[in-house]
Amino acid sequence: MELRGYSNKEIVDIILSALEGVLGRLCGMRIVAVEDAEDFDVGQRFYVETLTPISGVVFYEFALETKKTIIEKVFDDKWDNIGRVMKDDCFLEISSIITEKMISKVVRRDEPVKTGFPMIVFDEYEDELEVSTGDLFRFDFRMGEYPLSVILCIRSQEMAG
Amino acid sequence: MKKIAIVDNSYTARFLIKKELLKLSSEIEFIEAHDGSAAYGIIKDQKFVPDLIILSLKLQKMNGITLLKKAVKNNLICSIPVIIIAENGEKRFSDLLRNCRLLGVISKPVSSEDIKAVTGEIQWN
Repeated sequence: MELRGYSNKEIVDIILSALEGVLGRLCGMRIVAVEDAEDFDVGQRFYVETLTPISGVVFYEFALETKKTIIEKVFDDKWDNIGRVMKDDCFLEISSIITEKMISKVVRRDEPVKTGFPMIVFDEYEDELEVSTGDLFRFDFRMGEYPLSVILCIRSQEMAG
Repeated sequence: MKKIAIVDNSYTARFLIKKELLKLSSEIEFIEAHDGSAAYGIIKDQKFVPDLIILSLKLQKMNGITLLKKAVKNNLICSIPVIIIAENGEKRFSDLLRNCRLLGVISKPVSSEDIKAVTGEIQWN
């Protein structure tokens, strides 16, 4: 994992802290890191490009049950009562907040963090995006019993270690 | 009845901010803007003069900093308290602090406690 000055465990802790600060807080559920996680059906993937001081891409994968839990906790309503656009907006927003929290943990206080607008990975662009971003590093977590994954790709970084 | 303007691209963000504000007071009239241009239109129009603006910096069409600078330059916002939503870098806003009533900077997900902490001058109940 090429994030200068950080061990694999420190990176996991940074992601975990960001997940707890967002999903843990919104859903009131404990989040833990998981090794050797089983595959799960992903459906849509979401991603956020990070621009300053780290250039890269962060992908998010949520199992359907994870998505349902998040949506129902955030909106205090049943999954079936929430429209597709609102669901997408919710996961885009959550992906954006988690990414900003992650990056802000590895920069100096008051250093600006710039990220792109969150996006959905559409199937037809998926291969192209992965090729353009290079190697991907996957980190698996569970929110309660529900799986999710965060996939990092660091292109370059301009920061003190 | 308090009037609060919430400016954020995301419906979810605005929903969560409203949810937290309603924990502080049930008597709030909201106006929402989903991008900087729409927010500037509301401020310029002056039909809805908010008691508080909660402004995300990351906005489409016109970002939050540009919006604030433009509103300050045109004397549209000088007396209206503003809370900025940003993840990092309070010092970046020191220039703005001198030119508008910036109450503070809070991060997402916004909580009622965070809002209350930066709005000491506002009576919520």
